[in-house]
Amino acid sequence: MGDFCGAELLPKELLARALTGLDGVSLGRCSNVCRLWRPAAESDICWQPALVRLGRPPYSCRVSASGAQAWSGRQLRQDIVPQNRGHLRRLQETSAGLRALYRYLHNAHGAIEAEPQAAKKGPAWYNSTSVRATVTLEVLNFWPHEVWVWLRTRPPAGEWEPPTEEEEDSVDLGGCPARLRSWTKQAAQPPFGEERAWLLDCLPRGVLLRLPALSSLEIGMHRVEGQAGSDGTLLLAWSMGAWPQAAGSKSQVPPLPPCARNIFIESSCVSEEVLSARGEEEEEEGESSELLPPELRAAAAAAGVVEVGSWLQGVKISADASCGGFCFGPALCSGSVELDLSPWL
Amino acid sequence: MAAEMLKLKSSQGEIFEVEPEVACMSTLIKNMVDDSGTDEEIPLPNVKTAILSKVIDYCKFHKDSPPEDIQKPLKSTNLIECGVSHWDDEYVNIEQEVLFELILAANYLDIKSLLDLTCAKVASMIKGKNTEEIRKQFNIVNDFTPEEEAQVREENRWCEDA
Repeated sequence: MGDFCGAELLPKELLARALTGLDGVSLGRCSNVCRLWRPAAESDICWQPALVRLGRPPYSCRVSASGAQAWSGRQLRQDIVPQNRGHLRRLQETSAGLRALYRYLHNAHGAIEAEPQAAKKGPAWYNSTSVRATVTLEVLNFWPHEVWVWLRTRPPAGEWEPPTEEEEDSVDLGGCPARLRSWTKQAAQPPFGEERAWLLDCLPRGVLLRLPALSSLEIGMHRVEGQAGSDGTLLLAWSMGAWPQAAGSKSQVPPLPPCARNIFIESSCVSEEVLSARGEEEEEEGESSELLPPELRAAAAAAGVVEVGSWLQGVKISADASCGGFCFGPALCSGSVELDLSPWL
Repeated sequence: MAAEMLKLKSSQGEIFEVEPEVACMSTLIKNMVDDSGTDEEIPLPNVKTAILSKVIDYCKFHKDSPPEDIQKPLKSTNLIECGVSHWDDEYVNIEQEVLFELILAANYLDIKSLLDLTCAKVASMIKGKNTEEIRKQFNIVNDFTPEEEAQVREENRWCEDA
């Protein structure tokens, strides 16, 4: 071949174009090749198709061009993602551009951070390892598309029977079965117009959230309950997957509006509202009224809070709201956070 | 009666007579023809004779059958498995120098499908190789200073951990 170096013929833009057919790993290696290749292999044009199919079988995700552009614009980062949390700091350490997004997703995909604020043991007669904790929760969606996020704690031993596939109302959340019989609706009343979280009939109390692309959700006072380990840790497991597209999919996807900030507090208040309406089991009414100002309480009542099942609370949408048998597809990522509750227990 | 032939002139002065539909697969030539008509010969000072002849082969073949889009990122190093036809695969099975000149020509002449095909060929030659193998494949000299190389390596370490 002599000393001919073909790639030197091409200007940077064309070289970048030639590299656009590559996956992220190959692109990473290309930028190690030489000075000429590095800027080409790091340009956004190469990374967009790589992002579109983040090659990590069996998971794949599709990224819309607008999602990728929104990322490139990165005003999102300042506006939506809170500045003072660990995830963002880590992300800001990486350089800008789609390449950084790819690398982040490759390594982390999405993330949950939780920090316990308070905890107490459940009633002794109920189960000695049962705990309730209040945590600061931050959920980040760095996927450039909408995601569902499912949070749950370790199930109480012997109390939970996963639904079988035949059951009409079973949902598949990243391989974990759950029931979803009711969900909150975007209510007409102003304070509840923002309310968008769903309570699932699943392990002790699973919560399903819907997050828009490249956004974060901060929950100041999130209640979790579950079985603490012998060392006083509570496992908060999460999984995250692409929100199913309504068009073209066989199964009916419920028309759930996307999450906005702070809404979770409102919805957990709704469930507290249910609890206090039931007038049993809980002694949390005082706290619940602190969280929920009187006008919100009235709105909650007006929105038709109903009790559906023993593990299940929510706001009923309508009598014919059936949501059986849909699948949320595979989880794109999942993980767990260990909450050390020993100082409170 | 056949349509009037277009005369394309390579950088070395050779004239190729081509049917207008064939030549107009190039957006550059199409615009020139739209602007100034088909009478004069069209000078293409950036394209050598050998490359122009190769480009015309491609345009003749694909005049009536535009190629399908190539899926990105490439699934395989074998272009046929990525949706490229056998003819196209054979067409880009050429020396690197010619391949790179074809990319330049396709870019200059603005023939998108040819540019996609040649770029995909280059990508397929890179896919699955490590950095040293890529350098070898394209005869590239590593011109990073040791400090720079250490920095780039550190930045891209994630792709070796997979």
